[in-house]
Amino acid sequence: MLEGSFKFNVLLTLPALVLTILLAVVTGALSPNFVTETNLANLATRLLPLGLVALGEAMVLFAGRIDLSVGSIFSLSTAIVALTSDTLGWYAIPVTLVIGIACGLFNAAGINLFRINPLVMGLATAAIVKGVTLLILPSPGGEVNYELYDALFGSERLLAMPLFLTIGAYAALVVIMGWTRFGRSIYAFGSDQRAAFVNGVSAWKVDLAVYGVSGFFAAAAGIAVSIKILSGDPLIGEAYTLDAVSAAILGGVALQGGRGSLIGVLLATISLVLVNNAFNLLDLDTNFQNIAKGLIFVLALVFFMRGKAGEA
Amino acid sequence: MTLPPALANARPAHATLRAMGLLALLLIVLFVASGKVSMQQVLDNARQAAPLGIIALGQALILMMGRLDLSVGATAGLANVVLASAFAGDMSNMPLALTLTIGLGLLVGLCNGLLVVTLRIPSFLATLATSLVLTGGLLVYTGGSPRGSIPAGFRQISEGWLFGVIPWSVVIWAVIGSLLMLFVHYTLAGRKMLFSGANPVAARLSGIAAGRLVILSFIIASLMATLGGIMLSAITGTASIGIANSYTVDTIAAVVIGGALFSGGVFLPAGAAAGSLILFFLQSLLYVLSLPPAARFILQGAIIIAALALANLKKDR
Repeated sequence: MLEGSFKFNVLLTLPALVLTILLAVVTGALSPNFVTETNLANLATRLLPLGLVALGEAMVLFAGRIDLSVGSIFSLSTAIVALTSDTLGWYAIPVTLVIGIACGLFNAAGINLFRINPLVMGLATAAIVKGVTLLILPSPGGEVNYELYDALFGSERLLAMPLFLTIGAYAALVVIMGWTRFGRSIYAFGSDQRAAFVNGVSAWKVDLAVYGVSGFFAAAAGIAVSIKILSGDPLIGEAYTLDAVSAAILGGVALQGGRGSLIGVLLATISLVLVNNAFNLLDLDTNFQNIAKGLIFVLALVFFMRGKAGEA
Repeated sequence: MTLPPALANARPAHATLRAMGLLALLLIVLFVASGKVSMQQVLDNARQAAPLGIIALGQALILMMGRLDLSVGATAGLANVVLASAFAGDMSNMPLALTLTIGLGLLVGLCNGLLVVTLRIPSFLATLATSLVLTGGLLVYTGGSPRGSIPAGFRQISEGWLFGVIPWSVVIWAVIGSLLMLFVHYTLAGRKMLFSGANPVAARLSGIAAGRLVILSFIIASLMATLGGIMLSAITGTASIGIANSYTVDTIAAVVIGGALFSGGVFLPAGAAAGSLILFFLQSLLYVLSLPPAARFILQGAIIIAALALANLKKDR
């Protein structure tokens, strides 16, 4: 049985790896600006939010669930940071993170308390969170403490905070997922809920954990973006939901749960960021970006889902 | 079990009756709040709820098949932009405009169906991808600023009233709903669809080619979304990007209020209609109470959670 082995996980990351290298080589060959310190630092800056959201989404997918509310939580976080960082300063960050976790726990509660389909629960939570966001910040605005910007994005180098944070977050979760009893129980729950239950894995605990983590990272990504743009935007996160799911699938995470590696997700995130970057560097019509992303998503789905009749 | 199936199907389901009861209650609240009983006003609201109602019919069919279509909002938006630009404010362009719009809508449905059936992509992801491509395509096509307008003559389908008694759009809505109901319950293809939605395994073992039926259901859903988009264009008279985006979640809320189940096998067009009206009246209530527009999203989410929680808690007993 190859499934679950180390070799199999390496195989799963191959498509994302190939796509990443391909995009880097093509963009690098066509644009002299690609391999410059400024552009690479810019890539790391863009990698941070998507990487964090995708990481949280991947955790939920490992457990066989899906979280379609990450984009809304993302937007809410930018709004909260923009509205509170002046008065709260650094404390705005933990406050926002806690609210993000709370949104995730709300998802988990709906799924377990009312037995609502995870997919639909995510849509419902997304609508509620979006409403709240628009209530507190109806249009883009607010102000973010400049100190935060300096600390996070002050250095325009590749080896700086954004890259360190992304790698740190992935490294921490790779360790948790691969080497702890808790991480294993999430994979187990994802691959066979009944078997996991019989062996003492509680659905409540797994759901609270993965949705909490997902909410946490969505909030963290929102914080990063609001600091980057020095303001809040009630709708900025919308696109991140699909991008996050897209990155996870492209990275070899199975929608049915129980399968996938975070390294693959990170590579897939890098390749999605490279797509954006290629559009900018090569002066392509950015309106085509959505179409390109949609096609990559479909191709990734076709590649990984073929032969699996799993239907939500 | 003693009733012949044809009659048993004709009896309204409990969920439909519940939704209608809720609707009646809501109407009473509205009447009390506004201090007058006006059938005219109710019908005028129903007129404006028709686009949502028609799109929700398609979503109800998809849910019957145990799937989900997250592209209906984008498809309706596509119809809006294409119709307005093909019409360009001139009534003589009507055949071309309608053919083009409906043709594109059917194509979207076919794509959705093929993605789900042939490529075996879970429906919500396939349709999410479709909606991304459609939204991007619209931006490319319009460059962000859509042109064209709907001629006044065509806008009659939403502005006009049949005999001055009932709005045309409500008539169209009712006719489409009845046709879909007849299709599902009284044609072979429709009944096969219902069966394969209720129990895919049994349907497959009975020799029903569910794949083609799923494709058909996605084509019908996109057709409904397109018709809804056309009705919406008749109301607004212009093209705008993203005007129909909220319909995706709205239709899900509407059919869920109307008793649809995510496990499939339930088709309640009257329930979906009641659900659409409830959603619309609640939104007007928010407007009357002069709550900010953001409140409607909160309401949308809360309704979905409440409706499903009630349905599931009831099932547990």
